[in-house]
Amino acid sequence: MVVDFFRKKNQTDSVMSDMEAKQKRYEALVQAYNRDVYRYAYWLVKDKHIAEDIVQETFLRAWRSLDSLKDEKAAKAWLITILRRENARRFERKQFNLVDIEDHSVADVNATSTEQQIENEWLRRQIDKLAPEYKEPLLLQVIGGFSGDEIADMLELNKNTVMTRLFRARNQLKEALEDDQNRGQSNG
Amino acid sequence: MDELEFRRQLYTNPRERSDALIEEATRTPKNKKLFDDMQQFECKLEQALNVEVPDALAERLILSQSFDDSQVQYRRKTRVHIAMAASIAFVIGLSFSLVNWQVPAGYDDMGQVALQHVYHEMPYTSGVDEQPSLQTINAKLARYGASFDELPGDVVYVNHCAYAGSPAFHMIMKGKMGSNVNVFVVPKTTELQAVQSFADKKMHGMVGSLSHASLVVVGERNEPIEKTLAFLTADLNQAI
Repeated sequence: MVVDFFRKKNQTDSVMSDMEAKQKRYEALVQAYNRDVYRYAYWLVKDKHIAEDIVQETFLRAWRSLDSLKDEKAAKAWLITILRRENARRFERKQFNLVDIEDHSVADVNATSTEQQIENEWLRRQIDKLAPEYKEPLLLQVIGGFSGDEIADMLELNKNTVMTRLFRARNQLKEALEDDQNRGQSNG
Repeated sequence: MDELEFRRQLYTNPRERSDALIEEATRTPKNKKLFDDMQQFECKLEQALNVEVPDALAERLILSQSFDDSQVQYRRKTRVHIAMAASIAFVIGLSFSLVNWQVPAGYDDMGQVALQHVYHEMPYTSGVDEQPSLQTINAKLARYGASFDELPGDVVYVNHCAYAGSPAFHMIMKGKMGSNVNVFVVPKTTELQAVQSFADKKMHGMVGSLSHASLVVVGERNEPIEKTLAFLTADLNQAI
């Protein structure tokens, strides 16, 4: 009789195919959600490089605990939750020098900008000026596509609070936009 | 739906398309204007939030995961090796402490013979690299009732040798640290005192048990020979 050499190989094979399945699942997750997760991160930190770092960390953590994701429909909310935790951890680790957005030279605004681009950039600044508790529900709704109930779950708020904040966020932005337009008209 | 509720719904979720909302939107020209306004505003908002995503972000995410993966696998593998080596050492320790009493005193122990042998042959074997084939190795191993399915590593020398007067299998392979590691397969009939491990200032060695032979591994002190012993024991097919 020969010591069963092949059993070890079979086990290795099944481990490999498990790994391959997990790998495929991960890659699908990356392809499906990397853009939304990045955009969300960008609006949280307003810095391309930090945003990408956080997204990297988020997906690595997602990979390490991929087995705990049971329901694919919950994948996006799961990723955003990891991302928010990752962002909070960043603040625990190190207090970054926060640069006021007004100090940045904004790349989009240049000599060839159309009126629409200028308005777009203007609106971005207004969004960034929103208080975080108004901004985040808005990001979750518009970028994430989450419902009021889902946002309430993720932010650990009740749904009415979320709805009120969404209302106020849009109200503030809309008023700022109207003020700006009125000023523009009276100046012109 | 009253006007206030209409306004509230449009501001909290302008993309909502419930029948009640649409009905209210078409009820008066003023409502129609608010509805259109909010749709237009939402377009602007979506456009503003839709920042550019860096090129090849997805590829970079997959790449960094692949590096993370290799680390995890490596860690798992070494853990398995250490666990294997520890359990083998434990079993060897247990069995040899029992066997020790049955061997008449006065004989050389297996470890001392191995060390003497290695030192004695060192001038001849230190520079060799004969790259023996799997067939050559198995042909020599056959006598001791064992074989490999594939080359067990970077083998530089293989031969029969005299081990305290009895025939034994002697193989030299490159160790993890680059020095030569000596492997002996010694038939159980040899009346040598059994030990589980041995060492001197320069070399150390371990003895493992095969079904009809002992497996002795000797290497320089920085060589992780317990790993070598563990994987050789696992890879050797032993005919009974």
